[in-house]
Order: sequence, then C-alpha cells, then structure tokens
Amino acid sequence: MVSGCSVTRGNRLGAFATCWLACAMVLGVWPPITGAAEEAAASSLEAIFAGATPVSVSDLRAMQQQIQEISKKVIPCTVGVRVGHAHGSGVIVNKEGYVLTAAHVAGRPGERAILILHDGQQVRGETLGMHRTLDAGMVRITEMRTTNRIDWPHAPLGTSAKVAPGQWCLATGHPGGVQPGREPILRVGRVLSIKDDASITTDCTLIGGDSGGPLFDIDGRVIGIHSRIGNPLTINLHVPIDTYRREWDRLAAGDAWGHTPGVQPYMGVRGKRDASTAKIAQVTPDSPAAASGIQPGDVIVKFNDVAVTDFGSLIEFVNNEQPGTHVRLQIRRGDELLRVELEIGDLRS
Amino acid sequence: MIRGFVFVGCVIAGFGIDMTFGSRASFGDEPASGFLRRLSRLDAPSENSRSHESVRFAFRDVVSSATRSTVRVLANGTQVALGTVVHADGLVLTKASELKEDVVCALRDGRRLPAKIVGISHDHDLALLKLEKAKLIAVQWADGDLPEVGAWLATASGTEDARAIGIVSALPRRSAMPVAVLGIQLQATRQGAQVLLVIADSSASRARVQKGDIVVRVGATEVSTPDEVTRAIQSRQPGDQVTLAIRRNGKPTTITATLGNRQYLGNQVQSEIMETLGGPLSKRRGGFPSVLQHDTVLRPRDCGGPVVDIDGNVIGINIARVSRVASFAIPAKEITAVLPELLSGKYAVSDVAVDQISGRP
Repeated sequence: MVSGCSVTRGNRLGAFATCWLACAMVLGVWPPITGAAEEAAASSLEAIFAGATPVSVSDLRAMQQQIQEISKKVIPCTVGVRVGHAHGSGVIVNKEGYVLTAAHVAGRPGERAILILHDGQQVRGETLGMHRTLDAGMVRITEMRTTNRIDWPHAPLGTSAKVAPGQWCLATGHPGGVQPGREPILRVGRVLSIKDDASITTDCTLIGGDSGGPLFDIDGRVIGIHSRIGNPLTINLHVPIDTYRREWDRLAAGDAWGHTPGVQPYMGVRGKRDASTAKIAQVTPDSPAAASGIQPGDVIVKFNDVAVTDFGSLIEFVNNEQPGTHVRLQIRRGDELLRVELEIGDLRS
Repeated sequence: MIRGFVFVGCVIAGFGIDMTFGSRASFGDEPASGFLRRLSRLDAPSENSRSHESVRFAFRDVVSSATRSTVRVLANGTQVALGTVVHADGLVLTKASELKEDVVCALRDGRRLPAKIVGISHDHDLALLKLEKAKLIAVQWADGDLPEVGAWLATASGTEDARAIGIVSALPRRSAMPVAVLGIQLQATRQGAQVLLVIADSSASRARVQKGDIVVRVGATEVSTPDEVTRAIQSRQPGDQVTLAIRRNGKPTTITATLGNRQYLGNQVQSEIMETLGGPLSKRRGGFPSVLQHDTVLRPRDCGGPVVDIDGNVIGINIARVSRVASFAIPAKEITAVLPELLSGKYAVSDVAVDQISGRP
C-alpha cells in the first residue's frame, strides 16, 4: 500500500516517511488500495470529494475548480430569512419558491417572513410547517416578482442517506445576519459523522445567523440544513435533508409538531400508562395543569379536539407541543364534561 | 444529546438599532458557566477533518515560496503574530495591535533578531518592522486579480507545512469598525449627563449602573453632556474596561464596566458566548478599508503572515481572526499601496506610541 502511494508522490517525499506512513494508515480505512493502478483511480476527483486524500497541487486545483463552479450556482439560491425578531438563513429548493430553513428560525406556521435574496433584494413570504424536534422548517415566497415570474433560482435536493463521513461539502448562509453589500458566505468542510436521521456533523463552521442555511454536496445538491453548534470547530450540526423529503407534505401544509431539543414540555399530571383512559392520578402543584383547575380523578377526553384514548397518548400529545403554546382540553369529571385551556410548560426551565 | 449546543439563529434587539443573537436561541439546559468552562478544550483531530495534516500536506508546494518569507514575531518571548518579509534588507510587516514592547523576530534558521517599529498604518493595523543586519527573502506579491469565491487559500507559517487552509468566502469588501457601547440612554440635566435608561443585558447593567446616576468622568476624561460621554465611550473598543466616575444620590462612586459591541446591544451574554465558540479572536478585527474573507481557522497569533492562492502567489496578509467562521486578509494591492508610505516615515511612531498600541495606559 505504501509503495503504491509513493508512486504518485515521487522520491523527494522520502524525507517525510513518518508523516507518509500516517497518511497511509488513514488511507487504509477507505476501499483497499492494492497497487499503482488503483491508487491512480483513488485520487480521481470523485474519490477525493468522497474522502480520499488529495495528494498533489493538481488534485487541489481540480477540487478548487469544482468548488468554484458549484459556488456560483448555490450562492444565488441562498436566502436570508427574517421572521419577527428571528434572523436566519434558508435555501430555495424549487421554482415555486419553497424555502427550507430551521424550525427555530421559522418559529410557527402562518407568520409573515421576509426573505433576502443573495443580491440583497427583499421579498415577502410566509412560514409553513415545522418539525421542531429535528429543527426542520419550511417557508414559502409569496411575492411574485414584477414580471410574475415564479422561476426562483433553486438548488436541487440530494439524499442524506448516501452521505458518508469524509466526504467534502459546502455551506452557505448569513453568519451574523444579512449584511448589506455582502453575499451569502461560503465555507468548505467535510462530513465527520451522521447520527441516524437526527443530524449530520461537519467541520463547515457555522455561527449565529447561519441557522436554516444549506449544506451542499460537492455537486451542489442540498444534503442538510444548518441547525446548531458545539464549542469545538468540528461540531456543526445540520438537519439531514431526508427529513424534509419524508415530511414534505406535512411541512408544506403548515403543520407544526414536536418540540425544540433542550426543552421538556409538560402539563403536570400523573396517571397510569396502561389504564384504558387518560385518568389523572396526581396533579403537580404550581404546574400548568394545577393552574387550569385539573383535579385528580379527571379523565382527559380530548386534546385540541382530538380524542385521547389513554394516558400514553396524552403523554405523546404533550410531547408534541412547544412550551408556551395554549392547548384546549376536554375533561370528564363525574358526569360533567368540562373544557379547559392551559399553557404547556417547560420542565427544564 | 443536545446538551451544550447553541442554535445559530439571531434576533434583532428590541431597540430597533442593531442585530444581535436572539431570544429563540437556546443553550439547552446547560448553564452558560458550564459552557464557558469547556471553551479551553482542544478540538479532537479527526482523520476526516478538512484541515487534517494529510490534507495540509498536499499544500506544501503551494506555501513553500511564501514560507521562506515568513517570520514569527515575538513579544516578551512569546509569539504574538507572524510577519511577512517585504524587503530583503530586514523589513517585515506584521499585525500592529498584537505588538508589545521588546519585539523580536524568529527566523527559520533559528536566529532571533530584535525588531524596531518603523511605522504603523492604523487603518490596516499593519506595523512595519526593521530587523538590523538581516538578509531576508522578500515576498513576491501577486499582481493579478484576487482569487474568486471558492478558491483555496493557504497560510504560511515558517515551517514546511501550511499553518492552515481554507477557501475564499466572499468578495473583498470594507469592514466596519465595531462600535463600543455601554448600554445607557442619557439626558442633559443641570447636574450633568444623567442616566435615563439602562438597557438590560448590557455592559452598563452588568456593571450596575443605575437610572438617575450622573456620569462625571469616563476614564480620565471629564464629561458634562451626553455627547461627551458618547464620544468618550466610542473612542474605545468593545471589550475595553473603562472606569466611570458617577454621582449617585449626590454621593461620588466609581464603577468599572467592560464595554460591549453595539451590534450585540441587549444580548451581551449570549453574543459573547457565540463569539468565543471555537477559539480566541483577534482584539482588533474590524475597521479595515478592504478585506478578503476566508474560512481558514487561525489563532490570533497566526495573523500578520502571508496568504497564498493555489499557485503560491502571495495574495495578501492575514490581518484578523474575526469569528468562528471567518478570518480576514488585507489584499496585496492595499499593502503595496501603503508600503511606500510606511517606508517614507509618514506613519513613523515614537516609543510612547508603541506602548499605546499595546493597550497600556
């Protein structure tokens, strides 16, 4: 393997043997390289962008050409997204002007949004649906341009199922918010890990204002949406694009579900999970349930007009709400049917 | 699993002035102090990371020429910046605001030569150093256009390897100087400049400035009107400490406040956490006439050295680590324009001025 590599590197690299061996070990995790012919194939542009190490300036030059070509296509599809006080980014993904963003940027359905195109032009939009648990949100441009044109510049969707560690990717967005005279900011990085359907981690660095912006594969297809960061520069998390593919209809219909990671929605009641009704055994003092007058012995019959079959389904209903939202409950107390409204609380705040 | 993650949206402050990071952002359930404690943790190197040594290795030939013209700049024995050799007779450009007294340049051959500051362009934050009796190799400035968005950039370090790599993130532009702010509204009264309002989560609120306080002095400057207070504050930088002499209920008292950035007014704590996520930033990181933004991860002490494109042309000098996502380079054209003025003595500095740039009173 090592000799196979040194064919392409030349003799002058002999002095760096230690480093070179380390590189060879790294190469070992990719498809086995058995000889010079395979090595040449491994450093094809496609293989490099999939994770093989670029070994020469001509490799780097080929990468640069592709990155520049794709950046010209993806920057015009990147938008700034403003919903109320929230400032984030987004990406237009079809000619009708549907924009993918983060749930925590879109906020809630049916809100007015302002979308700032790459050249600074502002257009009106509205927020559609959001899957808060995974931080996936959708916005739509509602404004026609003067010519009634609806062919918005847009980026194609990729598939996150095919995303693999080591592959190169590009990120755009508006770090720090949209700034006059500054186009969306381009960054390059690589996929470091993928966690089921929940997130893609890259070293494309992100910061406040990037939320909702797109992560592209090296062919310019959207593979993720920027969501959150950890302190190390290697922890930049993106919502996998397959989430949007899977939930497209629900998002486009303006449905909002789940809750922001890091909060724990609760109403403050206890009951038996296996009982055949959602009967309340205990009400936590100073909880939203206590404030609304719910008492032990009450049976929750409906949650936002949807039938509650047992206590387990009540837990699910609550878990799908964002703290701070108001919900309507129908309660059976003895022979009486009561209606109460309560505000979902956050157990962690 | 989301412990310690920060959502990356931002929010306009309620004051209608500036953009800041917002109310919808969340730190999960981890207190900010826990967050800050972990700031010193080093990033785990991954063989898949874009800046892994195996990738940087490919850039060796790219930086080899610029490397010969890169020196390390030490102050009081520790590296504070890199330097770019601009003339064979021992002339070196570096980042001015990182300098302190006793500037020494460490050359590749191991020599350490004392350096004298010949001139400083405050606009560019560039200092011209003169090394006595040194024969060095000057950089060859790129004379063509700046590389386009998406082009590779490599930062030389004085050793064979590229110190760091990245790509051009945006077209060159002017970068505004951040404005220092205390977070108070003042009214003119007969007693002097009186605090009418203290903005929540600002440096003033943290320093416990109170409504009704009369601001008498900012640092050493006597103030009697709101305008004078504003001028005294804005002559400083965000992050500077300032001592305020105040009259509260007729009694004199002093308060020390750390000035905030006007951009983040009203969201100080959160924006500071955002700013420090991912490592230290340069003290001076704005107010440049023209910068090329790139996504190279630099430490503040990596600034001042040459940046090259894929062909090894020196396209500029790194001038600031700006944020988690950005570093700035001053384009070569700007440098070749200001260099003759620095050489002519137009921006000559006295020893006193050198102390001032180091931030000493």
